[in-house]
Amino acid sequence: MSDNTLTVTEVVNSVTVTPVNNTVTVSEVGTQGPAGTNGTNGTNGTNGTNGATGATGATGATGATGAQGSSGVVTVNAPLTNAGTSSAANLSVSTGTTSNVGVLQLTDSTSSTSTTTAATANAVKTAYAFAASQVMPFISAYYYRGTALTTTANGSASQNVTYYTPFFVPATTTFDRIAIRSGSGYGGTPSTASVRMGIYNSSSGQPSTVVLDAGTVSVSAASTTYTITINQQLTPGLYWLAANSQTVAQFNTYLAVASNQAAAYIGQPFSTAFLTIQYFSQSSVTGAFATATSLSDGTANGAILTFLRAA
Amino acid sequence: MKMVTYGIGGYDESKPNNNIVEEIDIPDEEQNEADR
Repeated sequence: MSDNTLTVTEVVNSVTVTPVNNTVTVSEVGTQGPAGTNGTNGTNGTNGTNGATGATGATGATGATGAQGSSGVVTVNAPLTNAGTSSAANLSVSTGTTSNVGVLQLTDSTSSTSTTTAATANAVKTAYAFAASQVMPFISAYYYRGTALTTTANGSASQNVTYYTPFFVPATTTFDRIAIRSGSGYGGTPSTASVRMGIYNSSSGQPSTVVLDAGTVSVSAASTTYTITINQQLTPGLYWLAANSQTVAQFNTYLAVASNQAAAYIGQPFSTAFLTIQYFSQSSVTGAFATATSLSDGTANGAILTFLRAA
Repeated sequence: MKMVTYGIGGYDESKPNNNIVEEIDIPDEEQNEADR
């Protein structure tokens, strides 16, 4: 220390300098401790992939011969026939008749009266085209009514009475409007009426089940046509167009069937009063249409005429 | 003198204009023809 040189030996790892007297104190370092114990073992690794498939084994030995089969016997049923024997058959098929099943010769003829030939699809197509040409189709965008040779502009309709007028469809047609028309004398107080319109099927010459309930129109003016948009296809047959004024104006008049005018499609039957039935009616019908019942035949002025427009 | 057309379903208060989709005037000649 006298020559201001500080020497630190290897065993001295710590030096402390005191600023007051510039003395150096060297502390002794203790000896190194013993080594620690070993850590625990790690987990096992994953399994390796499978080995390749082994070679195919050798073919087995041939089996024993089977037993002999029985002798062949042919049994036939109509329309098959057998001109040979049960063990040496000679089969054919009988010709069909109106009383026996069998094979038939096809024909394209549409004029033959044969009862032992059958029409081809081509012959059916020819017949269908001819039949379709014999009916007068509806003209698109035209309104049609189905009955009444004469109409009146002022048929008075009763409240909650459904009036059914016949409508014949000669060829499958789609209709896009259903309509009624208020009379020229329609109005008064109240001046508004609600009229429901629809289409019914026919059974035994009378209205039966509902085809379409188109809903209602609110009638408020005279000589006005009220239509509802529909999308209804009708196949050939007789239908009944229905209209029912479920609320009424004071003068609740419509374009209607005139008195004692023959209906075009219900055969013009005569009642005991020697009048022709031209429509049917049903009383006390409120709300949506349902299956027709309790029908009355009508001859008087007043059945609301309902129209359909061809699409 | 008019033709009033409702949409599918007829009168419906829940739809605009009560579901009336068209109102058009009809010439008098067609009107008279329709009344015959």
